[in-house]
Amino acid sequence: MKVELLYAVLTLSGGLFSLGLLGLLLRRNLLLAFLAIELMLNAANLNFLAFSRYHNEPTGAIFVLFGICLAAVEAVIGLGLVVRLFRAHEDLGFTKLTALRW
Amino acid sequence: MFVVVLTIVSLSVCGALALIGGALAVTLRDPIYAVLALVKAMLGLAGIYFLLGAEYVGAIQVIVYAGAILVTFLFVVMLVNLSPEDIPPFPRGIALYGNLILAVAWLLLLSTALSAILEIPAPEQVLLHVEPLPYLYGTLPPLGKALFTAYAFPFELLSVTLLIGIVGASLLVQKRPSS
Amino acid sequence: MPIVFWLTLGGLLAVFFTLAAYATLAERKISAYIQDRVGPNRVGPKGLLQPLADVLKLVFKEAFQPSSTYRLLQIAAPVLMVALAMGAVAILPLSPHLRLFDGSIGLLYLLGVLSMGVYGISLAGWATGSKYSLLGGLRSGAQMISYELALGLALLSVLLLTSFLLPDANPLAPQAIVEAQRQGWFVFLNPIGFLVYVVAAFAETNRAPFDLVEAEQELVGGYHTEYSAIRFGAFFVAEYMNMITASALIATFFWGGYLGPFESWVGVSGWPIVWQNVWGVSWLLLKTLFWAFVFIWVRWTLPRFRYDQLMRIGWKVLLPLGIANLATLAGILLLIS
Repeated sequence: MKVELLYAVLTLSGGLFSLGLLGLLLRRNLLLAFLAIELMLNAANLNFLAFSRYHNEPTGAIFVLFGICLAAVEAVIGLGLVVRLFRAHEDLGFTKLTALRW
Repeated sequence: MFVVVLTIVSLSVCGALALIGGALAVTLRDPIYAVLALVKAMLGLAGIYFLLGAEYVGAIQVIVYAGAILVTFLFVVMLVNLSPEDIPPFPRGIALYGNLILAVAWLLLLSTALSAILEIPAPEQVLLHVEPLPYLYGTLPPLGKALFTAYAFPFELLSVTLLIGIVGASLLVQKRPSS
Repeated sequence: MPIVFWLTLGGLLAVFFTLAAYATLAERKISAYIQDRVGPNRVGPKGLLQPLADVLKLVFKEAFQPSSTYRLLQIAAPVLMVALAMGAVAILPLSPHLRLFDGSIGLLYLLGVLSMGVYGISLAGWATGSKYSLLGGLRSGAQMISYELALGLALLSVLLLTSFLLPDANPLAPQAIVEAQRQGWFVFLNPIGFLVYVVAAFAETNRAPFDLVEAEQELVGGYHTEYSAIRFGAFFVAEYMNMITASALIATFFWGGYLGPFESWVGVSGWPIVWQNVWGVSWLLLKTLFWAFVFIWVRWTLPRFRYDQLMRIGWKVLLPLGIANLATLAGILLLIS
């Protein structure tokens, strides 16, 4: 029962990570790709917490706290870039942001 | 026994919330609904954190992730007025199938790694069960002690990182006088 | 669940709803007296049945729904607002023996509920597809996130004092915060934290002078411009519920909550439990009513801030003040111990 629960949580986290990866690969909009990245970050956090519980150690939980903080920084910088890009190009689609393509 | 069943049922409900929310977040055309679906996934994850005994982390997940980071996403969606028509549809043909195969392969890889992990014999005390833990690893006092002793340096570094985030964001969105 | 829990829950909700309904009347009466008018006095004696008439009017009006692609969100937003406004009140300790909420995360629950409140207003602003509403929603998003920081810092100073005065208790439990104030109300021990908290609470409830979200001179009605009938009523009631909750929280965190003055001199702890409960609930109610009056008083006295002033107060005044207060308090406590 104990290991099975760990397995269930890890499977859930793997599923969430794959969903996030799929979203990152398939979405053609900068903002929505960001959303997919957030999902992947959370899947990783879930993994940390599951193992933290498994070993009864606070280290994993602390790593999750750090991860949430870093996600906040990442979101702030990323969204700043998104706003900047939107002001410059009036669009956030990957297909139209081709200024650096040769 | 009742508590065990209750825990399993709540775990499944929260897990389903998280999975459905995540799936909707990466498929919905409308950016507002995509963000809201991700909020739903975050709340489901927070529920799982609670059930795993990490109450503090679960609360932080709700306050910071659902209550601040995703609000910022919502804010930006409203600010740039992103409507469903602005979102390009999913790619078709080889791009779609190639990426799908990649994601499935990734999932398989993950599960292989997972089974490899589970081959490792469990530690002496296996504590992923529902009985109250002797040492509440997820509540505030042990977390705070660890945070300000063993992890004090990374904690301080993190504050600098947050400062960089603030300065960087305000620099990025600053309106420069047009040259 | 013991029967006391359900009785407390029912009583709390009944009192809460009545207070929220009569806060609308109080607002109109007090504003009338401040402006040298009489105020509503037609329905019932001295206009005391006015809230009932208002509700009946709102129920029977046409619930107009603007055409937009977000019909579901249009309905969900007011429901979310009322639900969250009701959820926050659960955290109040009513007397030494009466409380509803007893989790280890305590105050974090309150912060979680408060932070989810942004969604109600932002989504209402976005979903109705009106420019005025959208501006109101955007303003609320930025405003509530900014002032949550100051609010959190003020609460941290409260937690610091609590854990200093009651080292063994879980400082996140609201009960412990009140019990710690037996040695002195936090408004006297921590006046700057109190100031920061009150200003942030005004901003979090979107009340004047921070009601940029629905500034009627610029935005018609802000986020609820396009709402009518009972859906507008839901927003209206949620606003007053938030005001009552905020008043009760100020009373609990800084004004001693259910503690009366001269508690030990009166010898309350020797009384039967029922009378202790009556005593505690009465004092909490009295303090809540006083703070609700202050909320209304401020609204009809101070002019509204401009949006840039609002942001400047939040980030350049309250935030540094909160940090400085926290650091000073921590230093003083370190010196004492």
